[in-house]
Amino acid sequence: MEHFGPVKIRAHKIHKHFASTPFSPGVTALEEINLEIHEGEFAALIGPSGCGKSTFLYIVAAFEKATSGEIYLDGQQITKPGPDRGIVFQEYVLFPWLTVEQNISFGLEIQKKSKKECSQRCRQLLEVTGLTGFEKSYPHMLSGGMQQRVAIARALAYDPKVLLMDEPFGALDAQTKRRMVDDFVRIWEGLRKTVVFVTHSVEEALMLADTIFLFSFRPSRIKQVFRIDLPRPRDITDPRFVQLQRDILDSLDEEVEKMMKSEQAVE
Amino acid sequence: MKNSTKRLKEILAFAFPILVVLLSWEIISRLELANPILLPPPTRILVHTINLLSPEDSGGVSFFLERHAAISFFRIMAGYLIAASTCTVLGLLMGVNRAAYNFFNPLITLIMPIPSLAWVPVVILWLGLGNKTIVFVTMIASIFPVIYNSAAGVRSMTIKHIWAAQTMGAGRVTIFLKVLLPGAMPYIIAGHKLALGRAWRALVATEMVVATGYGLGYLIFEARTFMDTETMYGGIAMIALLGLLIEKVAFGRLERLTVEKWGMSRSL
Repeated sequence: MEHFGPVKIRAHKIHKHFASTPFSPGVTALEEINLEIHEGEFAALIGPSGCGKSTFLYIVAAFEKATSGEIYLDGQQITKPGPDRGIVFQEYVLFPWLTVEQNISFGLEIQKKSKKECSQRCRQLLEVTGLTGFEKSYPHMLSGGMQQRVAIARALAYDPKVLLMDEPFGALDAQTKRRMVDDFVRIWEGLRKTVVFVTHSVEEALMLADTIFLFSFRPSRIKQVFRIDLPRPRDITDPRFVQLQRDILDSLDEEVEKMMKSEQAVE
Repeated sequence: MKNSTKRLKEILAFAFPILVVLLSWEIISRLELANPILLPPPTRILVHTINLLSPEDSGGVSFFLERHAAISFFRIMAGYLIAASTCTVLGLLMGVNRAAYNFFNPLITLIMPIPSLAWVPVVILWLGLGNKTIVFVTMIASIFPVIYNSAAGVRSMTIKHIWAAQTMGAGRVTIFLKVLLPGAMPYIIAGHKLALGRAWRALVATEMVVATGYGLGYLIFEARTFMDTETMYGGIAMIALLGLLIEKVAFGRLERLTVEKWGMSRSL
């Protein structure tokens, strides 16, 4: 992929085992994950439920520790959470006691940026994410889609090197989701930030990503990597889009099948 | 304009069931369906209470009821504020620190079910028959809801809220002050409300036992000796009124400014 910059994130032999507890047996989520994501690349992680793709994202964020293996960001090993990575969760996870504006500038204030810079950056992001006019609203007054826009703006506010997104549109209804994907493509095209995007929607991944990493069922490995060279904004009726979707779904279905079998075995 | 009519409607809706009960009571008493000495009509209690509140009542005593109420009020505030200031901190600590939780939780679990009044004889031995004992017992009564709710409030914030803040570069102190503390607010406020409710009950009962000559509990108990039922009901009404005042004015205002505005607690 010659049009990307240098390697931004490198995962080396990431293995994750969850020890057994009185309530659940031990499980190996990630067998061995090796991958490289380049600067300015939009990477989607896709796989069956419970394959450990979110776990992997949390290891990149350093919310979770890998049992073994290392992750590097710009060649530096990741050991703890930090503002070089921005996070967007499926459940928005906004601070309900802060207004939209205050939520967005939360990170900047923690990093002791000047008031002027906070408000300037905030105004810019409100505009980019289509939130202008909602500065003084509290999160509970907004729809799910609007709340997720705030969460995206909040993560972009302090200009992290990479944006980590954990099924960000998963809790939204189908129409809102489509609109959010379209808008996010536009936002991303303006920023060209490195993104790691976890999703279970093949269509979403194809609309957004340059590279799709398909995770196998657990203990998971990277089963296949798809390069998506289609120009944005992408058209879901484009034959190449349809063909890629077919290929990915076929590969994914095999893993979903394994997941179903394992669930039956448990019962 | 629109807001004030809404407020008026709320007040009327709140007062309506109370007025219905008072009216039925009035009728029952006036028709002597019940002994009007044991159950004097509310209007007569009202007249009597106003007399007791007046700058100089029929017995020549000035601000009789106010004085008792003020003393009770200061006692409950002293007991509650001591508990609130120390135990909110303790509860928050238990919410963030596992060692603190593990140490204090068994103690609290053991002590909590003991009715505050069971402590009265013991506290009398420690502190004597006076204000100190009454304040101490109201403090005991206030402690547990404050500790429990403060701890539960901190735990109500999801790990993802903490993660989000960490990712933005927040350290432990910042996370505590800017995430856990405001996030725990709805629980903390509820805990303080419960604490004051419990404190009132403990206060009145303790005042009856530790007869210091002042306080609403003492007043009610003392009036019984003279079969002065109107004063007894007046005292009871005063307790209800003060409780309502704290609940609606102080806490109501606090809630409107915080948890209701944030959508963390529904206003009905």
